Order: sequence, then structure tokens, then C-alpha cells
Amino acid sequence: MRERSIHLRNLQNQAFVVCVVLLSVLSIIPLAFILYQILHNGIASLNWEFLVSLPRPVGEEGGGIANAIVGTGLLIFLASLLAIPMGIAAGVYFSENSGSRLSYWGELSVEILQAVPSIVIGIIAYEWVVKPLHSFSAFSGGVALAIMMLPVIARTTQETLKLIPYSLKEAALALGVPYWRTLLKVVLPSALSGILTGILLGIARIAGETAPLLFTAFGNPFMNWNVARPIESLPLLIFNYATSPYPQWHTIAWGASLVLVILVLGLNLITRIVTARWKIQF
Amino acid sequence: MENPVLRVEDFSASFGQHRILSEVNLEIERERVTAIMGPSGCGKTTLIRCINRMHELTAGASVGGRVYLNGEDIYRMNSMLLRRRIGMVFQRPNPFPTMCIQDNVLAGYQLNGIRLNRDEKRSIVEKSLRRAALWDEVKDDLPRRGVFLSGGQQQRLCIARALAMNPEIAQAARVSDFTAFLYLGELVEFGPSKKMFTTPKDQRTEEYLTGRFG
Repeated sequence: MRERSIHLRNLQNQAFVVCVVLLSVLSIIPLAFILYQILHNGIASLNWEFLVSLPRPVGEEGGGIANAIVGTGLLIFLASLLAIPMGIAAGVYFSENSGSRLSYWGELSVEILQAVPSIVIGIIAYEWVVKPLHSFSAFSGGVALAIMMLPVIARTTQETLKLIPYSLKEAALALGVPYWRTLLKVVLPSALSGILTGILLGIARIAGETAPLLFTAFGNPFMNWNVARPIESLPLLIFNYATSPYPQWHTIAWGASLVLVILVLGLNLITRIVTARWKIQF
Repeated sequence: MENPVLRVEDFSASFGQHRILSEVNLEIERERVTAIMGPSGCGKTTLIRCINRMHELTAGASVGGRVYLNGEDIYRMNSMLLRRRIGMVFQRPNPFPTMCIQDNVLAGYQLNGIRLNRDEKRSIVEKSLRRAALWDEVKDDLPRRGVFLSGGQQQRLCIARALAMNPEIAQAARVSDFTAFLYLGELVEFGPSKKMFTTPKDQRTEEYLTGRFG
């Protein structure tokens, strides 16, 4: 009787392990298929020419996505310029004044902002920036993406600062260092790896966003460096090309998808390295 | 006592409703080491923190009475300038993890934006580390971060950091020439350490020393 029950338990245990392994393998399968599909379809069009040349009219062979790469780069740059200082400042405020009323409402707003659908943020940017300036522009796209990036950076900054021991701040204050210098020179440098992680995650989040750019950055088949004019981006280009009736454009869309995936995966990889390497021991 | 470096008069401290120190009177002699002893939770750290005005960082802290540093009322001074004049070493070592050993020693200058030339830096670092008895152990590792140091070495690094500012007083938990016995927020006895440890005046001091309470 006893022997049998142990046997049964072992069997149950093994069945459970098999289930867990099977389910975790299942969760990897979608990613594996996506990567395979994109690599399979995109690798053919991926070459140096593809990265540095502009799109050609339908019917002409070749052509590339240089305008979209530049556009995505510029949009990320604009969004970072707006969101990084604001996000870090908000995170510092939340962690330094936890319990205050402003910090409570601020944290709540950041949380809600993170849940707002990206298309809504696009509409807001359209109302705020595109309408008053009477033009679609890279700048308005940057604003929309910055709003999406802000909560990610604010949250990670706050979470990282929470982990920094109070004794460190005390050490600086006991040396007669003013509060603002203590924050800038002691607290923030100690939190650098966490804040960088937040920034990279934020960039990875917005790099693939399409919806908020539809009526802000708008898209542009030509090369553009001017922030006041409409600009192309990788996700927009993929959307437009993939929904076109031309097989040649479909190939370009696959190639652009591959570039975008490499960009986002690369950012995630760098994030991992940064967190591991730059971690400060307390 | 003639011309004490620090004079504490009728000093009380509370956190919210909780009274930590009551009516402490104390004079600290210049260029001498004075110890404050007592069981855990009696208010030693609170007294030290109040002298450095670090208690102001804690919400709900309030103090009464006067503290004079070289005759100046510390509660009328700028708290940041005061803290530069009173070095503080905390119970647990807290070197700056992002800075190398040399920068840790110079932290009081660098974080306050005081510029030093190379020779000044070198001499301050060596002098402070020697005074903290750490120089010989770290003199070859000055540009390295201090994380590999042992706990005791880290604490001495913090002492060097406090001494580097040439403070008028350095506060820490160490053993010394003079002893003040603090019990339940009240100053029980004060005098030369040797005398107090061998022939205490107050019965409570004797009982604490002999382990009858504590």
C-alpha cells in the first residue's frame, strides 16, 4: 500500500514536470516561428544597398528603406530628448517624496498613461501639435512617442532609486553636500544602470509603434531631416508596403521587418548587458 | 572644563511623541577622544545625529536646548556648513560605491564643488588615509573602486573621508579617554573613562558596567 502510494506520487511528479516543460516550450514556439518567418522572407532583400538607398517607384527593381531608417532614428531621438529628462525627474520625485499627495497622483497618472492605447496618444498629439502647426511633422511624431516612453522611464527610475540604500544619501549629506548635489552626484550615478535599462526599454517600446505615427509623422517617401516636415518610419513603411498590391513592395516590407526586429532585439540584448555589467554593488 | 570644543546645554530630542533625549548637559574637550556609552536604544546615535543636525532629515524630529560648537550656536548656523565642520562616521560603513578609493576620501571636497590641484589631492588623500590607518593597505589601489575592501577597511575609508575635511569634531562609535554614560535618554555620569570604568560615581553606571542591566 505504502509502496504504491510513493510510486503514484513519483508518477504525479513526473507528469507535472512534463507538463511544465511542454508548456514552456510551447511559449517559445511563437517567437521561433516569427523569427523564422521574418528571416526567411526578409533576408533576401537585406543588403547594404537596401539600407542606404531610397525607395524606387513601382516597377523599378531595387530600392531601399534609408528614409525609414533615418526617420525612425530621428523620431527615437526626438522622443528621447523629451521623455528622458522628464521621466527621470518624475521618477526621482516619486521616490524622494513617496507619500506626498503630488507623488501619489503622479504615480497613478503614470500608471494610467502606460495603459492608454497608443492610437489615442496619436490623436492627442494630432490635437496638440499637428493642428496648431497646420502640418504633419516628425516633431509631432516625437511628441506622441515621448508620451509613450515617459511612463516606462519614470517607473524604472523610481524602482531603481528605491533599491539605493538610504545610508548612501546620508553619507553625502553628513559631508555637508547640498541635497540637489547629493541627488545628482551620488544617488543618480548609483542608479545609472537601472535608469539606462529604463531608457533602452522605452526605446524598444516605441521603435515598433505604428498607430501614434499614422496622423503625426504621417510618412514620407523621400529622405527628410527636417523635424517640421512629415517623416517616414520603419513601422509605417511596413504597414504601407505590406498592404499595397505590389509583390515587390511586399519583399521590401519583409526586409524592413527584419531590420526592425534586429533593432528591437539588439536593444533588448544591450539592456541585458548593461544591467549585468554596470550593476553597482552596495 | 576650559574652552570645550562642544557644549551641549539642556538638550532634549523627540521623534513625534517619543522622547529620546532629556536635558542632556555635556562638554566635549578639545583634541581629546570622548566616548558616549549606553545600552542599545538609549539615544547615543540620536545625540550624535543632533550635533550634526542630521536629525532634521527625519520627519517628526524636534529638539530643545542649545549646542555650541566653539561658542557658536549650531542651530543658528547653515546646516550644510555645520556638517562640513563636524565629521561623521556612521555605525555601518557606507563608502560611495560609484567612486574609487581616492575619490571616496576626497568626496567631501568633490561633492561640494571645491576644486583641488593634483598635489593638494595627493597630500590630503595620503594624510587622511594614514590618520585612518588604511594607507599601507590601499596605497596601490587608489584608483580602484572600494567594493573589494573588507568591512573594517570600508569603515576606515569612511573615517578617512570624514577626516579629509579637517573637521573640528569627528563623531563615531569608538573607545576613548573620556566617557559619558547615557541611560534612557538621561545623562547619568560623565568623566575620564578610566575613572568611570574602575570607580563609577553613579550606581546605575556600576550596574551597567557589571552587567546587571543593559
